[in-house]
Amino acid sequence: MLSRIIMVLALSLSLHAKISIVASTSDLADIASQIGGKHVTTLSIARGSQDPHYVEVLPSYMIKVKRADMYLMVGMELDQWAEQIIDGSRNSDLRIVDCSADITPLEVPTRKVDASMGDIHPNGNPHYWLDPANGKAIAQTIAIHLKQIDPGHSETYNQNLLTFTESLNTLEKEWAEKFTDLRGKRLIYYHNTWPYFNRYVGLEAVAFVEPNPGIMPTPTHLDHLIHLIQEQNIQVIAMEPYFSDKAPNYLTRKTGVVVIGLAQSVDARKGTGTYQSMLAYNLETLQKAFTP
Amino acid sequence: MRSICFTFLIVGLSSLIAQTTVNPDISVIGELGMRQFEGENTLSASSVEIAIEGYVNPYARAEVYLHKHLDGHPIELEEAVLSIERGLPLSLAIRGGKFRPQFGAINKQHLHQFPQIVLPEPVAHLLGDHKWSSAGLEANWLLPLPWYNNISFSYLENGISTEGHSHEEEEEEQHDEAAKAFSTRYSSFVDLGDISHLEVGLSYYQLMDDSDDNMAGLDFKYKWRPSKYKSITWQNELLRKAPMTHVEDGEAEEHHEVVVAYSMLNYQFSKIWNAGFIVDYSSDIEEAEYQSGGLFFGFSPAEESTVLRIFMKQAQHGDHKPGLLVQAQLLWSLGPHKAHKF
Repeated sequence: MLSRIIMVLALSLSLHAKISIVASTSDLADIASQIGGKHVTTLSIARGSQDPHYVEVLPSYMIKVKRADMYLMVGMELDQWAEQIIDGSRNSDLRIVDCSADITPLEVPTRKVDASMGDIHPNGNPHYWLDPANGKAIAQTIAIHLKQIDPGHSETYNQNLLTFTESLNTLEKEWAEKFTDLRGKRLIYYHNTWPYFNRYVGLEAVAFVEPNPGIMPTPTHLDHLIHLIQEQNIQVIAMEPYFSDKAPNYLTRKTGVVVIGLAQSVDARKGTGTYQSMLAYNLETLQKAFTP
Repeated sequence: MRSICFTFLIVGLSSLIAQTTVNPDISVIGELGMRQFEGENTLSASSVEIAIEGYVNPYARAEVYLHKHLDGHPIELEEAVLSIERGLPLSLAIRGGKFRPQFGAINKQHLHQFPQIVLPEPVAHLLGDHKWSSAGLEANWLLPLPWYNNISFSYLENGISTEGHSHEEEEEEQHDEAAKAFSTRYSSFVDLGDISHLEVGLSYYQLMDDSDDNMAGLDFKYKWRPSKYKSITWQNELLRKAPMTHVEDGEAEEHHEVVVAYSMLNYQFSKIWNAGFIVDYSSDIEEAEYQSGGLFFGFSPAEESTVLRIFMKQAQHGDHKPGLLVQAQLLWSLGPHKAHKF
């Protein structure tokens, strides 16, 4: 009798146990949440407003990963800190998923990379989730792994993947009409986070506030940007929430250029709680900035 | 026990068949130092550290740290350690080789991680100028609790030596003494909300001979980090070396209890600037009380790859006249092992 009760309890627990997913960034966590639905719990190590290049490895993250079934990495050397968290978790059963597996990278260096170029990623620019086509590829990768871990809910994961993809397809049709004026617009970014987004929208990055990725702007570089803004009539500088606005504001004072804040990740700004709303927020913000 | 033996077997075998087509991370950290004390200035290209790190196989990492003082002394092997962190049961991790054992908060840190450039004098007096490193084995167990709790047990070939200039000299003396040692450390880490946390540690060290040489430590660190480039770190440590009797050539020598402590506060207030202070104390350095207070500043123009530091310290040691020590240090790094982490 006792063994039957234990068996029933074990079966009941296994049926209701959710797949625990930890992701390096809030974007991956949100997509996983949309694909996994009620069968998963998700959490992100880096907050949306945090720079994903530099995350301080805290032992409390290791405890979170210790209890997880799956870890979602951005890959392409963006979240190298995740290795330390995974090692520290001592979780032998953890499935590590590199979400860049099916991404075609942009800006892969064609010559030897070194520190004189700043913080260059040798495998290409890692901010690939900012193109909805890559968002769908990430969702596909997550769905494949979820189905392998939890084959009992494969149908649900397939259905959720379809819903996610269709929601993006619908939004993309809407955005293509609504934001058509953004195509061909030229702007300055603080950091080179946006090549995938630029490709999708049709924007052109003229320059960056950082002279090299990860390097603070120097007076000489700011002078160069002032000339560039004036000569080429650049109207907008876009920046992520974790950079100091001191240099962009200086450029505003000197040239009148408008500084706007974009969301590089889910929850980076107010109203960007999902992957779809994060992309919409950026499009809306840019549209407003370029509207006279 | 069987699964641990099995894992070791798997790790060993996979090392044999592992393809070594991927290079490990290789880094060099250089240091240029300047020091002024009692009117005497010295400028020296003080040292370089070479770090080689990487995965040996899917279960284990290896780390090798070599240190070269640019003063004619040979290259010193700081650490050469194999760590098995993945695949062991019961949340265990094991490392073996030459390493800095888990004892206190400061012993595991490399010198280039100190915002105050040098090891606090009272700690150097207890652990040695280069701190304690020895060949041995260490097991770490992550306790099954909702927050981070780790216990480590280390069995070391050599106990702590405070004599000698270089590791080699220290090791020679240690080999002469042939005293093995045991150390253990319990550490706990608690998140205090999203932007602050507290780390607490308890350590114990015992020399495994007749001398009853033992030491205990308590440390805690509080960190508040509201944003990427703003943080306050407050680190404190208390070490107590028990009184002991050392017998040499038939003569017994009494050693008093020694208590040392330091408190360090580091404030990073922008991407490139940090400043702070450190106070330290020892009840007995060469049979006199010692206390000092110092201020430090750091400037990091290129994230973590170049750091300029200045440290000013005023010390009071027994009847010695208090003196002002000023030190400056330029650190640079090549490769992924950075000169300084905040």
